[in-house]
Amino acid sequence: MQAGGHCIDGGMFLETIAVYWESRVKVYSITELTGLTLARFTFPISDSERWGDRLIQLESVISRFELVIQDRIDSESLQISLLFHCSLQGNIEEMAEQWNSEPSTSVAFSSSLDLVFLHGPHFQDRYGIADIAFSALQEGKIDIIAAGCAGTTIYIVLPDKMGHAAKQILTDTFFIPAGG
Amino acid sequence: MSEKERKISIGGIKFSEELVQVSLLKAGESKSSFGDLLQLLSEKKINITFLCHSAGSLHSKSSFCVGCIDFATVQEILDFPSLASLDIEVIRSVGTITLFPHRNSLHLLGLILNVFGKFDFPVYSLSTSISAIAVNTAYSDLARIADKLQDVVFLPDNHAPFRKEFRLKEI
Repeated sequence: MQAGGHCIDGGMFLETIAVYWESRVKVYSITELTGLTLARFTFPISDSERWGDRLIQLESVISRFELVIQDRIDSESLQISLLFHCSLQGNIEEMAEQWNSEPSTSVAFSSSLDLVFLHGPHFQDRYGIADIAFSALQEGKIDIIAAGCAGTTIYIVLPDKMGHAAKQILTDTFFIPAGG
Repeated sequence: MSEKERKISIGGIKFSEELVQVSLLKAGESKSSFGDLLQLLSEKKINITFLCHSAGSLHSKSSFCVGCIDFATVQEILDFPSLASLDIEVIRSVGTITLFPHRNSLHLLGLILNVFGKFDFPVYSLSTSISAIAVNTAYSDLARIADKLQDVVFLPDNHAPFRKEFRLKEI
């Protein structure tokens, strides 16, 4: 263990070095979900406030989401990708029809998707974790439709019936302690 | 529904350190892949604090964040000829604001997007995790955003400071 001055945002902090080695990266669990729908809402950035209200309204028909990612399509458009159980898809299709008629707005659905997600210790502070997961799936010829990694979790959206194979590959790649 | 009626209790808010966001747009015919870039970043021991990826039939879009301190190395990687066919956008001085827990409900997400839209705070990217919502925005706006978000969320009385007082780095 070593202590010394270390600077974050102008402040001084003690530095502690701990040595830890693992032959395979440890994860707490790997979970597989099937029968999911990915809705992609694309809209002008200037409509963000209105889309915030729409998401609150959608809560009445989408009682639970599995994953949400949002990215800029270009300098003027945002896209929200919302993953939820496919049994809920019909609930928002009628609403989506109205939104589709708005300028520069589109709603598209991809059905029958699978999801695997894993989380592990300090993933947000360690390099190479996403590469290990994505490389393993690439070697297994499994396409990735969408992914979101924040905090200690990695979510990977997969084509229909690929969740089980993906989970097996990731289980062989990472180490899950007994009882994990 | 009034703003007051929509206000909800959450467990907390935290800020990241200053980051850089890199976004890549890959056309269908491009041979360069996001996977190649992840491998190069891993070889250089660069931690990715955030990542989102979406692949469509015509193109795929990927965004990730790294610490400011690592960006010079990332820039060297982005200049590799093998990545030349990717359309790359770099946003500097990015901060992640994380709110938790989301309880798998769209309510908190809607409130966040509404506040960002109302006050013209940029959303560079966003992803949920197992319990939190992480939004990448302008680093210099983080404190103002947290202030405005408290119009729609209640924080615990004993809330910890928004900024981390320590950093973990794998070497």
